[in-house]
Amino acid sequence: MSTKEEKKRIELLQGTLDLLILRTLLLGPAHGHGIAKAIEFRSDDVLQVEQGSLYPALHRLIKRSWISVKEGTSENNRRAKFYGLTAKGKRQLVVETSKWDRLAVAIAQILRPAEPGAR
Amino acid sequence: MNRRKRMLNDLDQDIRDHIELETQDNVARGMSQEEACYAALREFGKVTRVQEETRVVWSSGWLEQLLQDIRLGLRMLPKSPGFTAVTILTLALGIGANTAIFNVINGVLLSPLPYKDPKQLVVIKEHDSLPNVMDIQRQTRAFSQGGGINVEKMDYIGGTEPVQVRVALINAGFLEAISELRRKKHLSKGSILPSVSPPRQTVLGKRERRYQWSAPQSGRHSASASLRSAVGAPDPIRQPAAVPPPLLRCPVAGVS
Repeated sequence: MSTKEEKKRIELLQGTLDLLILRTLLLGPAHGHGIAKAIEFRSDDVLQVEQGSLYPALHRLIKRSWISVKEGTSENNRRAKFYGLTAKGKRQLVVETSKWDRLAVAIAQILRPAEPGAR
Repeated sequence: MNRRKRMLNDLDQDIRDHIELETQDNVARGMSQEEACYAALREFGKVTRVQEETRVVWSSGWLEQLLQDIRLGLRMLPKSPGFTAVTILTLALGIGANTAIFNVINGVLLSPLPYKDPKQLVVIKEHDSLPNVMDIQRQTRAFSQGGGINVEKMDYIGGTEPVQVRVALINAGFLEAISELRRKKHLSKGSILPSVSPPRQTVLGKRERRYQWSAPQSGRHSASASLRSAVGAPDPIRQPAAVPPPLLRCPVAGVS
């Protein structure tokens, strides 16, 4: 089952899915399947979203009012739920992004402390 | 609450739509219909787990879960009466036994005596004669004070009808020792009467409460000689559990 290509794919880190959803929705409202595809596509298929895990995350974000739901029509003319970023969600995206940046820098410093340019 | 219900109701449809879209994508990539459907399901992950995790997002927390569990438990109980009976019996026996054991331990080991430094209080159980007790009192260097007590049943026939009462015979020194201990603890000294008071005391106790002690009149007073002057109700010095506390204390003169 697991081809070489599949092995190259990386599972998402715990807690990063929310950030990726918010970032994806910055481009405009999308339905669940669309969000999953967008994340995979925009990461050159490296990030593997277990598509099911998207839904608890979406509901979590709705509960926190970071995203909202609207009924809409999907590309194949079917009723679908479209998730869109709220103003609160946009602010949260800024916060989460800077948090992620700091985390990435910190981890990079630990992994390659001697490398020139890392400091 | 309403919003939560609406969101969860729509979830199943969302999941179906999602898998269907993925299947269509797979077909477009050249898979057969069946293959595409399998691949879509594989990609999606376990549907029941997704539903469960989404429900958890909307549940208001552990309290709701606990109530749900309790409701389920209560519903299941009547369905298996045998199990229910055994469970209730086990719990009843367990709680009962625990309570009994705790009561014994609490009474015998834990609850402290109402004196200062109760650890320094020593009870020597000996069948010693009174002169021996007095010798110990005089000659001891290990104890600051001491006294003798002897609890036994006696007949009192001074009232309207004869009564059997438990009487503690104590010698000089005993009350002093006890009241000294209590003074240190700043407890009321009222219930202890170190000196011999006129014998007009109510005998405490459930059964004997109605008997009034009156001053012994010569001739009518033919109880044991020691019952000459009752000095009060039993004080809280604790007897070992097997010996009920005396109803009366009587001072004993140091006669040899």
